[in-house]
Amino acid sequence: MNHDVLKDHEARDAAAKSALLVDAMERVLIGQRELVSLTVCGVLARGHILLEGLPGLGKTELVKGLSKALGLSSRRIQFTPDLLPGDITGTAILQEQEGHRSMVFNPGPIFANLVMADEINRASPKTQSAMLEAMQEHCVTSMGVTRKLPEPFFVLATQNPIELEGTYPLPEAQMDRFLFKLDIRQGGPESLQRIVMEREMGISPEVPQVMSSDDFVQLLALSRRVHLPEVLAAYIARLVDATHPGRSKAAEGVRYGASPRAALAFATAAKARALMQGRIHAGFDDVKALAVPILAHRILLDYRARLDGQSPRDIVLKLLEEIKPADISSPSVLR
Amino acid sequence: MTNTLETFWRAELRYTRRRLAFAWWLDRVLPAQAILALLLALSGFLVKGLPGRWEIWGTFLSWSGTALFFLLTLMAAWYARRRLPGEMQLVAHLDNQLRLNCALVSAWEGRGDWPALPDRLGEGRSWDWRRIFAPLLASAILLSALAWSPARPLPLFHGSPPTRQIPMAMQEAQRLIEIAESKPELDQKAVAALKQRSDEMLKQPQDSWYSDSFLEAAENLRKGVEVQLAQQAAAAKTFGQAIHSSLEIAAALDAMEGMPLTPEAKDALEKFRDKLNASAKEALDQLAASGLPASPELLKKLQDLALDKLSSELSADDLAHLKNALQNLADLAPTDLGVLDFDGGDGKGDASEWENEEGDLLAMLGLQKDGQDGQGKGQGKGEGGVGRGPGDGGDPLGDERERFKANSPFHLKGGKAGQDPGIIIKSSKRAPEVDKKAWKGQTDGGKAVAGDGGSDAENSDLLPEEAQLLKKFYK
Repeated sequence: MNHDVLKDHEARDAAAKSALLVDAMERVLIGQRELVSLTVCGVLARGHILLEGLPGLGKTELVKGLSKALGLSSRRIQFTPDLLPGDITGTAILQEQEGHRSMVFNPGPIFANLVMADEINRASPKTQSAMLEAMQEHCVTSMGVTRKLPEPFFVLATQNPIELEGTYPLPEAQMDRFLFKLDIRQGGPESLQRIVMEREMGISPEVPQVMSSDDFVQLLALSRRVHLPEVLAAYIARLVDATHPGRSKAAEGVRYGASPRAALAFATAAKARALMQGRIHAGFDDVKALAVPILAHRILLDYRARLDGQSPRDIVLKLLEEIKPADISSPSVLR
Repeated sequence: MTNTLETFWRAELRYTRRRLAFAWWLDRVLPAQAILALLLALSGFLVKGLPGRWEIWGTFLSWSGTALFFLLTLMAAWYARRRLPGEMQLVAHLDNQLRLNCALVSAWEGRGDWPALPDRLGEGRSWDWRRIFAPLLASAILLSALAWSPARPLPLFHGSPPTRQIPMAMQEAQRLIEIAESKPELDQKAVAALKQRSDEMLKQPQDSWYSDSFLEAAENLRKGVEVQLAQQAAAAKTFGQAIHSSLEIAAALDAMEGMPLTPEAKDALEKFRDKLNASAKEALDQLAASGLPASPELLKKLQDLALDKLSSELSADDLAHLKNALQNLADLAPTDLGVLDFDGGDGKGDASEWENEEGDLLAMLGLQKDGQDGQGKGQGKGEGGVGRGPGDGGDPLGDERERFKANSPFHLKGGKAGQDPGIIIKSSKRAPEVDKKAWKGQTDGGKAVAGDGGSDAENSDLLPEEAQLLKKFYK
């Protein structure tokens, strides 16, 4: 763990660069600044992001724009039921070189800084599992040989909440590997108006490169130096612990709670968010703002809660109401 | 500037700590005192509704309510102290409350600058006066209502608490002591001592009156007094009978007018007198040595009395007083001692022996006199002979009757002291109603009486069998 104290000016510079990035990305997703900010935050936290939304909301453009803005290599993989693991990781092919033939590894599309796994839930579990090692270890193993993926490495996956026939819901283990799950919703009429005015069918929006890949890597390093106060770590721990059944009133309808990886995700993402806002320390507000994207896809509801119409998002919001940042309940005589 | 901010935040933290501790204390003590006030008010109203209870329980409720209130405040203080968070938690609380987003926490940890003064410093820290005053007001109303509501006084009970009934044995002992007090023939000092003993026993707490030890002591007292009274009554009776027998013998001897006694009669007379003296002495000892002795005056009179010289040493009045005193003592006898009578035995004890002997002796003396009557002169109007039929002949007292007032009635008393059967036995109450005109006199030594006889016949002396029968009848 890096214990160097982040300087204020470093934090301010990082915030400015982050703001540039967010501004650039907002040109792609018009009227979705919060979503863009969360995406940038997730990237700064070195996390993989699962985007869920209806077709045509700009998910693919978001990934493309991000790679352009950051000057990173990006690949797009369209997941289909007949997609094979080798189609992602790459395969060794027989090639003739200098008079003799040998097996040469042909890297798959996963060998990029930014990989977009489009409609990831349409691939078979076998293919989805091929993503597991890559997302967690940042490396792939093919023909017995493990190969490192380029750094930084991010997976931005999308899935469609409708047309679920012929899909394979992501296994819990894989869901847990995504730092955030972000819901992309339709913008309001004003956003639509801006889209109509500023965009043209068939032409991708112009996204400027706001920083080099080195600058981005530097930002990632700064993000690690953001101070995480002890009481905040305690808050994160209590919040994650409270997602488990029987640990809080809010978790009554929960079947399985969040894993320790969720707590780590909280800490990392809170630091990233603090850096984006130019602070040298993470705060309670960061945790509160990130609770739904981090916890919602890690909570599995039991059938009664589902029948009652509850959603993981509702549970998380109740948790935030129940678990206070400071472990002090206020006396009733104080307002 | 940094130092100023640090000082401010540290002071703010101390203030928050105190405020929070006080708030927690209020948070616990206010509802608790409201509940306490409600309970006190309910108890008070209940007690005030009961006649005369408020005087007893009011003070207790006031003091216990005050004590409980202080106990509650102490418990609330202990609770508030337990709830008081650690320093870092308090900083986090303040940080979150002021929405500083961990700026204060980081500064406290030395990882950042002290945050600037927030615009809304008081937010989330103001008192909720409604929550504070509502329980206080409710308590005040309840206790005021209790204080101003009238209490029902006790309508009947104002005196001393009811006493318990004295045990029966004690009551009986007191009654016997009262009887003894009414008898001047008894030593009143001894009676007073018994009375004092009885009073001291009754001074014990009433709750102990029915304890085994008290009941046993009371029964012992009752039995002791009863036995002593019975013994004194028996002794008085014995002494009285001795006096009577002495008088009878003296009268019989006087009737013989100096006639010499036959050796057998003389011997019998001596033996009888010895027995009489022994019985009298024994009775006197009993009268003197008892726990309830006879009065010293009576004892002295009895001690100075010579039974064989009664007629010469005592006047009729003295004798009458003596008899009366002994009769009073004999009246003390309980039922089971039987009829007391100076004139005859009751068939019980030693007295009966010499009473029978008295009859035999008197018969012996009478026969001797009858045998000599032809040479002598008849007594009184009947001119000698056994006093049977008309005339006064055969009166054992002869001329001494008037002197000793032998005709005065002797009352037969019931066995129980104080009860009078109302029957009087007399030796001779009035002159017999006889046919005086037809009286022709009688020959000396003859037993037949001429004339028509009167409507009444009298025999001054009954045969022992007759006396026994008569006593049984009256029993």
